Amino acid sequence: MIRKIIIMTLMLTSFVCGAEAQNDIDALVEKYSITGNSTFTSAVERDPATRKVTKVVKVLKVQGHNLSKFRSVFKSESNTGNYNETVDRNIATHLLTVEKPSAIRIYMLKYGVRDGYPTYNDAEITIIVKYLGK
Amino acid sequence: MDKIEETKQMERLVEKFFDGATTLEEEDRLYAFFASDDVPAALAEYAEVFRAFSSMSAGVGNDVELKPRRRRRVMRLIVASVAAAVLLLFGISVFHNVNEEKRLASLYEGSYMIVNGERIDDLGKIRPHIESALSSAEKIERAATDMSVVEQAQQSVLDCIGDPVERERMRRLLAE
Repeated sequence: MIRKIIIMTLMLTSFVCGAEAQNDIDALVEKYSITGNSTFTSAVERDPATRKVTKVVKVLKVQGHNLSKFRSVFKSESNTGNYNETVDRNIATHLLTVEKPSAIRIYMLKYGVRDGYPTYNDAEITIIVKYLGK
Repeated sequence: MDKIEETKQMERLVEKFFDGATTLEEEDRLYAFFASDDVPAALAEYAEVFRAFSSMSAGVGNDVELKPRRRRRVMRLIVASVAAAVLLLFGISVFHNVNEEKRLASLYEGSYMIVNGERIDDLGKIRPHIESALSSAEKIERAATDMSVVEQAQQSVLDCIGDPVERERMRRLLAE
């Protein structure tokens, strides 16, 4: 009985933590979208026939000195989904894909690198929420 | 005025007419004189001529009188046509703008931008940014899908390797 309670508590905790981990990236993007020196676009794509929302895309462009916060939050969320880091032509890309029954969420962080180190020029964060219509 | 005196006066007017020196009033007097049935014999030879002149000047007078009237009517028609064309163009422009707003709303309602802390909701203004974001999102989705396919294939390979040491060596090799 006690074992069951412990297992249930652990499962609930991991579920909540998972939800909060996604919210950390979303929360950070929302915080920096309303500060100065940033450009934030929230694009809503609708089915023109039904006007139902099919996709939401958020793009945040911030100055490079905020980059470390975003790198840190992406790394901390890496275990919540399919995570990948790549460097190609001096551009570093962090990609996190989280699949749920109702939606697929893709988070991407992009910034410049040189000799393996961030250049701290402007960084770009993209969040894609694709609704599966379930 | 007696007939002889009148006849003499008319003779003088006829001479003046053919010299081109008559006033309009004098010409009208001549036309009225020769239009009557009681033309003196001395001036009978001119009757036909002045009756002809009389009918011509009536036509000319009417034309002269009509031309300004016709001109005014034509001008009114032109002005009305131009006004109608302008109204039509204005109506088409308003209809097009309203339709365009409805179309953008059906596709992107709810979209907005925040630039340096200032929010912009006008879909017409931010449309290029919306379309750019959605276009980039498609590329990112494809990249995410491709990556998932590659990783799944790698995992399939690793799952086939029974020896844990060999599996770890292969994993490092694939990660390079």
